[in-house]
Amino acid sequence: MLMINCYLTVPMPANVTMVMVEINTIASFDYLPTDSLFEYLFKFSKADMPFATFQAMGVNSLRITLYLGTVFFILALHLILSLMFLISWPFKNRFRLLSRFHKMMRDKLYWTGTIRLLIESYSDMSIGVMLSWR
Amino acid sequence: MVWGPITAYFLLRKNANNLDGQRFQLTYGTLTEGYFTTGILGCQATRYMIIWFLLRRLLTAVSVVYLGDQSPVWQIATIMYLSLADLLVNFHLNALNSKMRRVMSKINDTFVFLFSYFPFVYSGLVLDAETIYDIGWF
Repeated sequence: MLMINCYLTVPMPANVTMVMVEINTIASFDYLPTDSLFEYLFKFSKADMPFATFQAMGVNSLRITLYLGTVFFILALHLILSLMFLISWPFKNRFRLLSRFHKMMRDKLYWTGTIRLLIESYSDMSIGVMLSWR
Repeated sequence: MVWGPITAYFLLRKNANNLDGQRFQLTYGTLTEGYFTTGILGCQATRYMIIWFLLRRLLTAVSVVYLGDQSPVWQIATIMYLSLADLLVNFHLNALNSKMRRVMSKINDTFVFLFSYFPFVYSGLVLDAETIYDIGWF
C-alpha cells in the first residue's frame, strides 16, 4: 500500500521516484517486458495522458491493458484456459490428458487461483479501471 | 471491482458456519488463508477483515484517481485516514490465525500509517529543494 503514495499528485524528488519505480515493478508483479510485448502484439490508438505523477512512475497511457502489464497477460491466459476448459468439457472422460487438465483446472484455478489473482492484483486493477474510466 | 467486496461478503456470510469445511477450503480456501475460520467471532472478524481489505484498496484507488486534480492535501488526508482505519480495524478484529502473522500485520500497518505522513513534506511544507532531496533518502 506504500506504493500508492507515489501516485499522489505531490512533486516527489527524483531519488524517491527512482527507487519507487523499481519497487513498484516488483509490488505490481510487472516482471515481463510488457511495453515491448504490447508494442509488438497490439496497435493502440492515441489516448490521453494520466497525471504527471503517474507518468513519472512509467504509466504513459490511461488504458487499463497498458497499466496492468503482466497482470493483463495472466488474465488473458486465464481466459484462454477457461475457454479450453469449456470446449474440452464433453471429451474430458475420453482422453487421459484432458481429464488431467480438467482436474488441474478444478484444483488450481476454480476458484482458489482466481481468488488469489484477484486479491493480489485488486489494488492495481481498481486503479487501472478507474484510470480508464476517466 | 465494486462487486468484489459485495460478492466476498455474501459468500462468506452464506458459508459462515462452514469456513473450515473441506469443501469450502478446497474451492474458496485462498479467500480465508491465514485467517480464523472457526467460532462465531472468528468467522465474523474474518469476514469483516476481508471486506475491509478489498474496500480499503477500492477507496484508495478512488482517492488516487479522482482526487488527482484537487489539492494534494485531500489525497494525503484520505490516505492517512484510510491507513489509520486499517490499523484500528487490524487491532480491533485481530483475525489472523497465528501470533507471528498478527504481530507482523500490526507492525506493517503501523509503518504504513506512519509513512503516510511523509507526502505532506512534499506538498509545499518544505521549500528548499536540497532539503527535499535529502529527506527523500529517508
